[in-house]
Order: sequence, then structure tokens, then C-alpha cells
Amino acid sequence: MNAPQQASPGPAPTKERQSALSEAVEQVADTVGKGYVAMAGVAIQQADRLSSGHYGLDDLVAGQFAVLRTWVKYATFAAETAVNNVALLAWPPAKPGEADPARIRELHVAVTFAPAGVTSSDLLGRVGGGRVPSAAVTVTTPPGDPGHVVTVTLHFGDQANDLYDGILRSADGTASKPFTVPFNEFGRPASAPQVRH
Amino acid sequence: MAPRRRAMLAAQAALDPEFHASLAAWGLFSGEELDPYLQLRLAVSERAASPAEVPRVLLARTALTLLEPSRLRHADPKAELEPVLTELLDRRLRDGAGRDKGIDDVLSALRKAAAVDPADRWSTFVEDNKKLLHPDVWRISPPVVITQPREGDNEFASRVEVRFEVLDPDDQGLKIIAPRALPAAWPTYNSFFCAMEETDRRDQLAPGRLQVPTTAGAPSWRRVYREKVGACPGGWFPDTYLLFTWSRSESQLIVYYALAERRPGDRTVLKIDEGYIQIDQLPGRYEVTALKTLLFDDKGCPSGGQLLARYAFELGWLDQAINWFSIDAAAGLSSQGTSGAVELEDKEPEGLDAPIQEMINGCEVDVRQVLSDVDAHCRSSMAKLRAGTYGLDAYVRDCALVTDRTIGYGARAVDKQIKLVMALLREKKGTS
Repeated sequence: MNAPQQASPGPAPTKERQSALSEAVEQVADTVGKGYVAMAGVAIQQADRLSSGHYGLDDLVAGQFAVLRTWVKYATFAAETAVNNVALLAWPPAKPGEADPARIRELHVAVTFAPAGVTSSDLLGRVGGGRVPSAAVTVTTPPGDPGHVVTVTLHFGDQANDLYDGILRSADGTASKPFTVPFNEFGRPASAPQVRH
Repeated sequence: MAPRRRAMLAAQAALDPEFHASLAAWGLFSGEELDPYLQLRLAVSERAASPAEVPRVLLARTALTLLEPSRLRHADPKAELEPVLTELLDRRLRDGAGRDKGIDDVLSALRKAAAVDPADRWSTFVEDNKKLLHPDVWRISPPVVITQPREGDNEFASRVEVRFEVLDPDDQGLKIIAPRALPAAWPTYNSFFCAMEETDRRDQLAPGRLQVPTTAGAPSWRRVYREKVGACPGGWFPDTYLLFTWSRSESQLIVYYALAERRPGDRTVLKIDEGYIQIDQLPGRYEVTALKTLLFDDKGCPSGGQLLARYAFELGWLDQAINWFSIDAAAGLSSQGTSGAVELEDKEPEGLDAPIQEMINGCEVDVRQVLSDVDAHCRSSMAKLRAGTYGLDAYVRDCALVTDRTIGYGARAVDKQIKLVMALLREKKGTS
């Protein structure tokens, strides 16, 4: 999931998707669960020491501070969960069936040959060996008069995260230019993107 | 985080109540009445000719927001903004006889642009003012920040993408930029980074390592670095090791990174910290894309830390990509270390970093009420213990008290969570 050598498996289409709301509720549940587990742990520890008949001054002090520690930790967990749930739920929801713009990569490449009719090879993952077929790549000329610049648009599917290397070829096939496209995406969109200028 | 970068964050928070509220919930600027004029002045106070300073393009963009007619506090804001205006002024004017007139002209350009539609604001400000403005302002476009939560493996990660363009009228090329983009140099170009240390031992375990020195001129290499960011020198996130992949051609530079394989005993709270910075050189300009995906490990952090991740750009996590293109960037190279492999002693974070560090140590935030209660309780108990008057009865009474408070706080917290979710649901239902 997190490196060219350990690429993301991509979304699992058969799995039911988790909503932002369910994630928020899950986070609350995790927080509450952690608090009660911690409290129970302290109570069990104290009960064990009492029943052993060796309950001393150390336990007297440590037990109380264990409860205090749990108190602080539980409170802080809960507050942080609330903050992050606001962030999670404040995002606008994704529209069902909407394409994932993050998997469409566009870049401009300067070439030393005429930009008209330029084609791309397949792209190969540098570490993982994945492939982006040339059919998923379009090469166009930007509007206006950009000089020797082409726009390369790649449609990634479930390819692994990696650096993908390809070659642009001139229309007559006599000249070429290598190019690289980084791809690093996690899962699928949970909501529409927010753009800040 | 450097004081001037903090002030920049505060200025942005002062202009955006939602952002302020989010940061306040983390313990940052909590309960503070932030004055955007003061904070913006502090963001340039005693500014050095260093590439790790707040990017001028961000100063200008914030000043434009501040000077929107609906927000304007004074008829003549010059006195309050003069240090900021001076930073936006071209150096020759700043150091010459035309300084006063130049400052007036920058203010008037800002006010004129602040009055137009936000979509045309930047071009209105920059066009026809290139001789007046510092090159960092007109050469570097204001970054566009795109954030999105991503769902996978039953987790929600935050994706932050930043795009901007840099004019390069002299076609200087990547040989100038590449040495600045080396991971070891990132702390030189961004005060958010404390250190990027090469780690030989982890390096040997990184798969696919290319046996090439980590130089700016090499076409490709891979190497593991230990990242320390946030509260320097120790950093917010312990044991964060990133595997970098460097890819360089004549017209393209990509610095690609992902968390290196976690090893037993690592204390990192990050589950995903990966992305890349890509620079494409085109005739007369560069196109820059910086992508970052962040997720906290919910073993130690049940909430996922979506907020910190969402505001990664505002926190300054990607400033270095802008600062590589600054006029002041050349000064950084002469002063930067070669490897960054200096082991820094951890110390307690202070100021604004302290509450964030508090949270990250166990994904916790500072809840003032609870902490002050605990503090008072501890003081009382310890005083009795020292005086020898703390008996079993007092202990039982205290235990009952703290247990009662713990359960009470937990119940209130859960109640608040439920109310929050219900309120958001109602709001969503109302708007849909």
C-alpha cells in the first residue's frame, strides 16, 4: 500500500464500502471501547492485588494514579475523536458512480520534435513491473501556441503505486523522448474533492 | 514549527473561523482572539534571507484576503501592514530611494485586487506590477490545494494535492533546483522539517535499492531517511522512516516517498505517509505537483487524525516545494549540511507544538478541564501523603471520586459524540 515495492492493492470491488458516517461511528466506538478496556484493566489489577493479600502502600498510590491516567487518556481520546469526526463528516459526499479524478493523471512534456501526431508506448512500473497500456494514454497538443509541448493523459486503473516509465515517439517514429509518471493513490474517493485557492 | 510559520498559521486561522475552530479543538490558539494584522506582521518579524521562511506568495495571498473590502478594519491599513508590504516589494525598490512610494504602490495594488472577484484576484494583483513586486511573488503562482478523504481497507486516509507554476524566464533548468530537492536539504527549505537523516542500517533492508550515491545529478536512486517534523529537534512523530525514490531526467524531477517497512519496536503513529513532488520543466516555466496521503495508525489513535492530514498544507508540510524556487534559495545551499545525519537530542516541545505533541504521543489532545482537575487532585493527594495524613479512608474516597469523574466524563464525551453525529445528519438532510 505504501511504497513502489509494496503497492496498493486498489479498491476491492466486492467489498461493501464504508461510509464517512460509519467510520465516524467506528471511531467513537473505538474510543469508548479503549476507555472501558483500560478502566477494566485497572480494576482487575487492583482486585488481583487485594485478593493476593499483599496490598501495600505502593499499590495504594499506583492504583489511584492508574485510574487518573486512564481518566486523562480516555478524555483526550474522546476529544480528539470528536475533532476528527467533524473533519470527516464535513467533507462533501461523493456522487455515486462518479469517476475518480485522482486516477487520471495529466502532465505536460516538452519534446524536441513536432508535437502533432506524437504517440506513447506502454508505461512500465519501475519497481513493481506493473503496466499501463498505451491504449490508456492519450497524447494531445495543448491549446494556443505552446511550442514543443504535448499533454499526456493517463487513465490508471488498479495499477500499483510506482513510478511508471514510458516513451513518447514523434509522428514519423524517428525521434523519441522518455518520460516518467508517478502514481500514488490510496483506495477510492470517500467524498468529492475540495479545492482551496 | 518556527515562530514565523506559526504566526502565518494564526493569520490564516484569524481569517477563517472554521479553520480556527478546527485548530482550537486541537489546543492550538484555543480561546485566543487572533488579530490577523498582528499575526501577519509576526510572520515577517525579523525575517532572515533564508529559504526556510514563510513563502512570499502565501504572505501576499493572505494579505489579499485581509484587504477584502468587507473585512477592512482601517481606512488606511498601511501602518499595520508595512513590514508585510516591504517583504512583497522588489529588492531594488526596498533598498533604494523609492521605498516609501513602493510600499504605497504595493498596498494600492493589493487593495485593487482584493476588491475584484476571487477568481481574478491574483492575476489583477500581479499583472502590470512585475517591476514593483518581489520576483518570488510574480514568478510563483498561488498554490491550488485539493483535499479529499480516500477510503480503502476500511480506513479513511487524507489526500492532499498541491499544484502551482513557476515562471522561469531564463530557462535555468533543473540543475539549479535538483540539489535543493535532495531529502537531506528539506530542513533547509522548510522550517516544518527538523531533520532528514540518512539511515544506513534500514537502507540495507529496503527492497530495490539502487547502488548509486544520493546525489542531485544521478538519474535514479533509493534511500531510507528518518523524518522529523513539527516540534524540533525531536519531531512530532517518532520513528518515521521514509523510503525515497529519486528520478531525474533533463526536464523532469520526481522525489517519491513512502513509509519504509515498519520494524519491531518502532513507535511511529503513521500508517500511511507517502506521496511525491514532481517538477516538469517546460519552456519558460515549471509545473509543480506535490501529493501527500496521510493516515494515522488506529492502534494508537482511534480517530485517524483526519484533521491534521487535511490541513497538511496549511501546517507547512509542503512549503519546501515552493521555497526551492525562491530567490533566497541559493543562500540555503551554502549553509546546508551534506547528509543531515546528525542525531538530535529530543527535548520537550514548547509553545504551540506542545499540545500537538501531547496528542500525538497517544493521539491525545489537551483537555484543559480534565488536566486541571487531575492536577488539583494529585496536588491534594500528594500533600496529604507527604504530611503522613493520607489514610485508607482518604484513598477509598479519592478512588471513588476519580472513578466517578472518569465515568462521568466518558458519558459526557459519548453524549457529545452522539449529538454531533445527529446534528450533522440533520444538517445533511436539510441541505439535500
